[in-house]
Amino acid sequence: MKAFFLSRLMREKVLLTALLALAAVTWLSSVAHRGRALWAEGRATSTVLATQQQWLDNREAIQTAAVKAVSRLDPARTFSSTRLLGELSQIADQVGVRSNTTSEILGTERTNQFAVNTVQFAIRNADMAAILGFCQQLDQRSPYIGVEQFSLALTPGNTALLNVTLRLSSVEIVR
Amino acid sequence: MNLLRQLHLSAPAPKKVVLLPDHAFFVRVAPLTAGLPVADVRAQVELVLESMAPFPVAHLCHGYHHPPGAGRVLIYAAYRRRFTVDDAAVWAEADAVLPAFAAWLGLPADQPRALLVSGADYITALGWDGHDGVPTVVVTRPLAPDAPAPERAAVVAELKALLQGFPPPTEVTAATGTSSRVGEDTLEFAGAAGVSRFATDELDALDVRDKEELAGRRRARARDLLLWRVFAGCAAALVLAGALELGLKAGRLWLQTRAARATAQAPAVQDIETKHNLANHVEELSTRRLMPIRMLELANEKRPRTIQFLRTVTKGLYELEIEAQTNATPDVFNYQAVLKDLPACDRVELGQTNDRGGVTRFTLTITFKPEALRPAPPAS
Repeated sequence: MKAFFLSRLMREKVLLTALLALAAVTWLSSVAHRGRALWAEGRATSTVLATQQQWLDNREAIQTAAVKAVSRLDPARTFSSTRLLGELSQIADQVGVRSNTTSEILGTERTNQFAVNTVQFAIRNADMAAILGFCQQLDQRSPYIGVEQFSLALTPGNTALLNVTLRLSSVEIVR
Repeated sequence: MNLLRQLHLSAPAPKKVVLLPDHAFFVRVAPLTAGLPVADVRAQVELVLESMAPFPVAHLCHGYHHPPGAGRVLIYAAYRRRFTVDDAAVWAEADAVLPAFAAWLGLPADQPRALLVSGADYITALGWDGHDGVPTVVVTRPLAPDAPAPERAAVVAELKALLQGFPPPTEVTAATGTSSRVGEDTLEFAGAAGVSRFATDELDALDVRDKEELAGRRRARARDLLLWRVFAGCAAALVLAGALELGLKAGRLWLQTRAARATAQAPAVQDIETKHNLANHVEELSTRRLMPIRMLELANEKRPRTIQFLRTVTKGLYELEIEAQTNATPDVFNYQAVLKDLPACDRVELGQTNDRGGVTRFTLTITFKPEALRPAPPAS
């Protein structure tokens, strides 16, 4: 190879070297670029696998904790999302604000043992006493119904009345 | 296409060597100054030539043989005009131009030995004493190309007589070319006496061409060598790139396997995560409930009458954001200070504040201590 190269004319040597250098630089930079991408992808995959492995390693403990958490609850007193809305309407009726309410089912997270339903419930133009009564009733249904977010605001134009928006969740034991 | 034809991958050509008739040269062995650096040998050779030759050194074709460490040097020279312009044209293409006997100066000479080199119109006797590789006897006798055998035998006998004291001489025919090929680092001549081998640096000294021209050839060689090294480096880089490419393919396969594993176990992991989150949620419902009314009661206890709450929102289990207004601005800071002193409050931050028409609107974010909001035991 060396003899072949050295026996070429000067311009051929320069041309061959330049072509080879160009090819080497192009290929190496391409390989380096793809190598970096592969390395990053590999690290991301490793992280995902490590995280997954942690979850899998803790499967038994999580299962036990879930069973333990559910065991404290009476399945008969848990609420599906529909039952939850019904129960909230009933409480609103009891405190006299039934006509001023709106509700919306936000979603359900479910396992094969239990589910957690989330709803948004709003009461408009209610006085403080009614709101306190509503919250007291909710407290009595704890832990089957829990408040996740509570927002209270003055009604525009009438500072004696309030608007309240609640994000509520309920536990439902799957039988 | 023309270039491709020129780049044909045939075997490299043999090196071109011009071997000049020995009788054109006068030869001397000269002692060197003790301890003379190798780099100064050439200068000393030129001094010797200037003292011996009737012509200026520039008019001579000369060369020398100086094995490393030798205390003497073999010098040979010929008047430049003994060679024609046509000869010089041939020399320009050659890799080396030497007297024919010099082709054998690269023979191993660690022991005494003698050589009779027969050319077309001369015979040369060479004798080494085995001390330092420099022949002590170099004698050439010219002959007519068509000299009869008895005349040739007489010359041989005369030269053998000159080589008395040396081992019986080996008779060789003068070399006509070399088996070395372009690109090889050495130049070799093979014959009955063995293989005479020269390194590139030794050849520069042996070569009888103009020394400036040889320096130019050396520079060209250095440039060629540099180009060759760059070329070889690029070739190595290409091989490396190929190896890395294979590595990347293997890595991609390995990664695909891992990604497939991650995808395969994702549903099971998702299920565990959901269970975990929901179990925590259920646990929180039982033990760490959001208590907005209690938060409002705590915040309201120390509220100055000048401050009116407009809107409150809980954030997480222990944080309450209050949007309020007042027409007594200093009360905002007083209220913040009072809240900070409450045992139930962990932190109170005053957020956006603006004043319009004498009414100051502001936002307070209160973080309560968990123990202040601990719920009553869950209903059974």
